[in-house]
Parts: sequence; C-alpha cells; structure tokens
Amino acid sequence: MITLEQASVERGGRVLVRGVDLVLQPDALTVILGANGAGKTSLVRLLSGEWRPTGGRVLWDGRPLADEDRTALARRRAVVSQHSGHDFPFRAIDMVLMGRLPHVRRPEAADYAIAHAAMEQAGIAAHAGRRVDTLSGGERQRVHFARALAQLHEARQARNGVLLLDEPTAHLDLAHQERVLALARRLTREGLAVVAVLHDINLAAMHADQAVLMKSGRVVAAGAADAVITRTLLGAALDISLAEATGACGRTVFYPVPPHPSQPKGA
Amino acid sequence: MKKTALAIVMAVCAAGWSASAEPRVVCLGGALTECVFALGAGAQVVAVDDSSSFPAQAASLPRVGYYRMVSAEGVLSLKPDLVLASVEAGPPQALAQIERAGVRVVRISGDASVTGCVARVRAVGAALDRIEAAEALAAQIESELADFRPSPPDGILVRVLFVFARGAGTLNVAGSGTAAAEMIRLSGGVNAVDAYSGYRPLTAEAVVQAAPDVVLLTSSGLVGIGGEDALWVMPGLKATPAAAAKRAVAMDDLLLLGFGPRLPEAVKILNQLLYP
Amino acid sequence: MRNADSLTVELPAENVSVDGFRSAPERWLVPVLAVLLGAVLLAGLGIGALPISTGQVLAILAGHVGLELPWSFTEREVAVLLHIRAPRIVIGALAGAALSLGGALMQALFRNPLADPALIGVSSGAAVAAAAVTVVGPTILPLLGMLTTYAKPVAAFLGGWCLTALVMKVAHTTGQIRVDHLLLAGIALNAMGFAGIGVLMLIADDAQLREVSFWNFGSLGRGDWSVALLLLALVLPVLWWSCRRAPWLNALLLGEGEAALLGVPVERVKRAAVLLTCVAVGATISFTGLIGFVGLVAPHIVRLLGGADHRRLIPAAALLGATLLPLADIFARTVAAPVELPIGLVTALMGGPFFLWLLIREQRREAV
Repeated sequence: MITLEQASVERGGRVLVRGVDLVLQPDALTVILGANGAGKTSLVRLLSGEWRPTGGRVLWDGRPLADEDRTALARRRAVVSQHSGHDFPFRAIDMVLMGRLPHVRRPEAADYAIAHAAMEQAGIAAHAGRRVDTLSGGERQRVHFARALAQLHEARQARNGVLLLDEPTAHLDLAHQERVLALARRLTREGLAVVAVLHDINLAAMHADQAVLMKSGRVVAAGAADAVITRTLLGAALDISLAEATGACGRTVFYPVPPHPSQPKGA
Repeated sequence: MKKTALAIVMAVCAAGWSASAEPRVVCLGGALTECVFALGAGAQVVAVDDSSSFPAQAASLPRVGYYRMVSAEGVLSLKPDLVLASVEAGPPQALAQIERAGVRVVRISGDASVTGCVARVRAVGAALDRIEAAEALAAQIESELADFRPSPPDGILVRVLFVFARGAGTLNVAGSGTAAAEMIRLSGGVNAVDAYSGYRPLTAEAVVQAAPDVVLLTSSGLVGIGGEDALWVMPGLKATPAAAAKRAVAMDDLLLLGFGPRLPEAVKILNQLLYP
Repeated sequence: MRNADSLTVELPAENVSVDGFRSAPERWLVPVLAVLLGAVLLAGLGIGALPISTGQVLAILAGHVGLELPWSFTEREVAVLLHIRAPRIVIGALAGAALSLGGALMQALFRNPLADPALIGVSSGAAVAAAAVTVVGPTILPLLGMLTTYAKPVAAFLGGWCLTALVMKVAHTTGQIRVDHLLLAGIALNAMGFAGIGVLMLIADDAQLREVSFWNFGSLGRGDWSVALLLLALVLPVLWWSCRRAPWLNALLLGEGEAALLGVPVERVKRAAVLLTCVAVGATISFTGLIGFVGLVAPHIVRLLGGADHRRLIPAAALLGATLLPLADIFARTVAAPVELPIGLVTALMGGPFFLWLLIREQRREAV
C-alpha cells in the first residue's frame, strides 16, 4: 500500500512536512492528529499523490506514487477534502456520480445504483435529487463522502483501496460524526486502508486503530492508537495540558485543563 | 452656376415623363447620386445611402444606411435593376451577393480631382445609358473650371487649414493628397499643412507652426466641434492668424468634398469665401 | 437505511434509474431547445427586408430538390433566400453555438458562472488585427499582394490566436496553467489590445473609423456558404470534444486538485479548453466581428434551467446560442430595414438588461 520514506514537502520556502517515515496499514483506520498548521493536510496531499515529495519518497505498492497512472490510481484511492462552497448547481446524485469518473466515461444504470447505495451509506440518499448549492455544509460533506464511496466501489470488493479523509467530521453534528467514523471502521473491515485527519481526540481515541501525531511538520509519534493517543503525547503535540477520566465502558476521555489549575472543575 | 442649376431642373422635369420603363437605381455614394440627378435620371432612383444629401429630392428617398456597410437584402428589398456604387461602398460580400441576385452593380471610381469628377460623370452616364447628357455635363464642368482663374486680389495666397473634426477636442487636419487640399488648390488657396498626406491629428504646436489665415471646415464638422466659439479656444488654433481675424469658413460636406457635378459651383463659392 | 449495513450493492433497484432524479425542465431542456432552434431557423428564412411568403419559401426550397409547388417566385427571391438569407442564418446559428460553447468552456475553466470567452484575449486580439487591416492594411497589404476579401478574417483569427497564446504563455510559467494568472494576464492583455485599437483609431480617417466601429459591433452579413461550411468544420470538433469531455469539465468544477484526484488530466483539459475556445470564438468573430453577451448569457440561462452538469449543459448551451443569435439577427435586419443594425448592438441591447435582471434575481435569492 502507501509507504513514506523520509518524505518532505517544501512549498513557497516553507517546509510543511519534514522527514516523515510511515507505513500505511491496510485494514486499519489511521487517524492523523495535530495542531493547526502541524502538516496534517500536507501529509494527506502527499499520501494522495496531489503533491509530490520534495525530499524522500512516497511509494505505492513499492513503486513511486508519482509514476502511477492517474486513472488507475483514482480507481483505488479516494479523497474527501476540506471543501469550500462553490456556485455550481449540481444535483447531489451527479456529484456522487463523479466518483465513477475513473471507471466509466458515461455512468450507466449500474453506476447509478452504486451511487445510490453510496448515498444511503453516507446517510444522504434522501437528498439525491437536490442541488448541492441548496444543501447545508454537513449535507454537502456527506455528499462528498458518498462520492468517495462510489469511487472505491470496486476497490472495496478487491480489498485494495485507500480512503483519505481530511477532517471528515467538520460541519457534522454529533450523530453524523459517529456515523461517518463507524462507517470508516466498517470500510476497514472490508479491506480498505482509511486515513482520517481529526481534531476531536476523543472521537479518535474511540475509533482509531492506528494514530499519527504531528507537530511542526514532523511525526512525533506513530503506531497503535492505544500507544499514541495518550495524555502526555497528546499534550506535548497539541501544546495543551490534558486531564483524563475513565468514562462508561471503561473508555478513556481526555479533556483540557487550564495551564495552572487551581481547582479542577467538578473534581 | 445658374446654367448648371437650370440643367438640373430641366433634367429632373424631363425624367419625370420617361421614368416608367427605365431601370430602378440605388445609389451608394453622395457624388454618384448628384450625377444621376444632374443627368436627368433622378426619377429612376429608388433609394440612396446616408451621404446622399443633395438634391432635396434625393434626400427624401428611402435610405439604405452607411454606404460602406450596406445590407444585401436591404438593398434587394427595394427591387433595384442597377446599383451604382462608389469604389468605397461595401462590404464587398454584400455587393457580390447583390450581383448574384441578378442586379447589375456598377462600381464607379473617380478620385478627388477635376479629372476624377469628369470621369465619374461619364461613368454614371454610361451606366445609365445617357452618354450624350454625360458628355455635355462633363464638357460644361471642364469649361467652367477652365474659365475660372482664381487670382488673389493682392497676389498673396491665403493659407488654409482644413480641420476635419469628429467631435469636441479632436483636430484632424488634412495634409496633401486629400480632397480638401485639392479644393483649396482649385479655389486659389494654399493648404497650410503639406508635411504629410491624408488626415492626421495635429499637435497644438504644429497648428501654430502652420500659421493658417483661414480655418476651413465642413458644416457638420463645425457643429461637431461645438460652433465657431468652441473652435477658437482649441489648443494651438488660438495663436494663429486665423484666430486673430476670426476667419473660419464652413461649407456643406458633400458640396466641399464630394467632387460631384457641382464642383465648379463649389470652387467658386470657396474662392469667394477665401477672398471676400 | 437497508443498504447502510450490507456490504454489497444491489443492482439496480427499481427506484434507481438513469433519469430517476431528473426534474422536468432538465429532461426536456435539450429537446425543447432543439425545437426552438428549428422554429427560429425557419422564421429567419421567412423574415427579411424583401418580402417572401411562407409558400414561396417552401416552393423555392422544394424547387431546389426538384419538387414543384403551386407558389410562383422570381429569380431574385431565389437568390435572396438561398444565397443571402440561408447562409446567413446558418452562420448565425454556428456563430451562436461557437460563442456559447466558448462561454461554457471558460466558465468551467475559471469555475465562475460569469466568465466570458473574451477573458482569454481572443476577442481583443481579433479586434486589434481587424482594425489594423482596416486602417493600415490599404497602405501595407497591397505591397504583399494580400488585400483580398479574406485578409481581414485571416488577420483577425491570427490576432485572436496570438493574443490568446500570449495570455497562455504568461499564465503557464511554472509548468501548469494557473487560472488566476490566466485571468489577470487576460485582463492586462485585453487592456493593451483595446489601447492598440485606440491608437489605430487615432490615425484612422473617418471612413476607416466607422468601419472599425462597425466591426466592433459585429454583423452576420459578411459571409456566404463557404464561410458557413468553414465555421461548421471548426465548430463541430469543438462541440464534439466538449460533449465527450463533459464529465471532465464537471470534475473541474470541484476544483483542479479534486479533478486530478479523480484521474482527470487537468492540465490537458485546461489547455484544450483555452485552445478550443480560441478556435471556435476566434473563427466566429473573425467573420462576424465582435458579438458580445451570447457567450456569457446562453450558458448561464442553461445552467439556471438545467443545472451545471456539462453532459446536458454543453449541448443545451450550443443549441441556445444557435437559437439566440439568429433571433437577434432577425431583429437586426428587419427593425430598421432596409438599413441593418449591427448584431453586436442588438445582443448587447437585449443581453445586457437581461443579464442585469439575472444578477439582481440571484442576489435577491441569496438574500432570502
């Protein structure tokens, strides 16, 4: 799958990612955590092939990612980016059908069925005929998620796809956040490697198999989620004092505390 | 001059009787229209272009627009048998289409000179099958101009600046080789600018250097510039002898620059205006 | 929600059909526009300064293929219909389609529904070249033995091409076309182009000046069947490419990065969009002169009626452009007959207020 060897990215004189070594685990949900500007989105762009490394290598099945045929790559790798709104009145279903672009020139009935199923999985099927410019931010986010699902339909069956999610829970309400991550986990069981950039550390702790902790363009910790998502590592990476508590089902919950806690609230 | 006018009146009357079987004519070019009327074929004219402002009968005929930009179907809708077009008339595609529709299109050249004027009269005569009338008119124009000897009263030639104004603030001045320069020469004046040919916008300094005694304009040009008062405040003109004496002369566009059958009349009028 | 937990996709469910999500206007847009186009073309044949009755039109057309109908007509009416009106209507339809296609391509490229083909410099380049032929051509071209009927269209096409190439060159410095640079380069070079026209107008005489300004307002009256065929040969490939690559154009609207991630060869598409617009619009305006607003308004109306999907937008915009321009031309050649109005004047007079109305309407809708 995707391997990073000392990969760096420099753009406009700024080093955004420096010397990252990473082996993406198939069948796993890998969560990327880090403060704003830590290089999370840059790392996703390296993994997706949108950006080429200016140093080191990014390998796809052992070969440089940049050498891959872009259509062949698009059949196995889908990205849900952070979106800004745009003015073009596409119907939601047409947006999702764009995910079929690497597979067919003109979508046929089978592609409509795939798109429709993807929309059901993303919980947006009810809005299939609506124009995306009339949808809310969260609904649009789910349309893009469905597009990625439609794109990876064949890869799911071949169990060799990669799904890259850059803040997939932004704009989503709590129920849909849960739902998206639960779906992401289920996709890993189908053999997809899923990478998600998240800000919610508790959501990450709850769903991630693997975690990558970034700070200033470097990976400060990577590995099994349990080993990486800890109070001390997170605190150091995010420059914040954290406290932890054990919640229902024995799950650890992190919450921030002021730098000089006089009296922890409710403690 | 009176003779010419009389000839035109008689010709127009004569044409009134014999028009029915004659070909229907569309004229594209003011000088051509004048020729047609002067040759007594005015009643055959069914439409003219925007520049045909003389005689009055022509001005009241249907218009086909600016003669360089006529519409083929527009002209054809007037069911002409003959289109008399000056060489500048166009666009060429439209004239070709008119020809293809079975209408005779005669392109008539004739530069801005006495010979050009006479040639134009003869060409129109040939196209209308009025060769004798054309010969008579041509001979009359030639003799009238040959008899006319402009002689400045005190032997000093007046320097004339022809201003071709296309709106407030612009002074396009006629150099050598222009219709205006030829008219000035025929009328016994001297074109104040001969450093270039054609029309050019002249800087204020060059206008002062040209030192014209008279500024010559077309009537519509003078209107465009905003009248005589506006003329004298234009940069450069202020400091000329013409401004000091407030000598601006305006003549009808077609009469002054058309080089039509009224050429002798135009030359005499301009001469009188230059040497009052 | 039944599918949400199953891992397989059921093919194809009854409520899922290719057209299942199409609203009525979307489904009927292309057929209705095709019918409208046919109606306007027929009306254009029947309406003109020279009165020709519908019966005569039919009789002349039938006579052309060897049929005899009981309406009499003269040679003049045949010539007007077959050699003036018919090619003119065909040129109008092709020109309208070309301008509208160019607009649709530019709106996709710039990801802006208000983009116009003139943005890439093709119009001002063509206008400068045409003005140059008008003003300095008579003194220079005869020396080269080039002053033929086609000197101006050829020069205009080359002029449009050159300025577009220059705009591309400026926007293409780092191995990829930067659309924001393309826009800015287009604005700068357009300004320079119109400054060039200004210089030429300064040295033009009155007749040339009028000719330049007439050209800048366009006319469909300067062509015959050979022009119509030439335009057909240039416009059809552009239409074919745009229809074929409509899914790529759709993806481009998501953003260049997104499109690339979907396997779209983004740089190739951008370059093709610019060059094909240059071909279609450049060829058109080199024969007709500048015609504004069609390229902007036609795709925009289609988008309002039928959405942004280029699989429908491209053919519908081509049809609407091909309908609007001959319609405007009917006005241009009849309102002041036998004088003809410049068609660019009519499109601007009709298109301008309509476009303002669209803008205001959209602002109101957004405010709600």
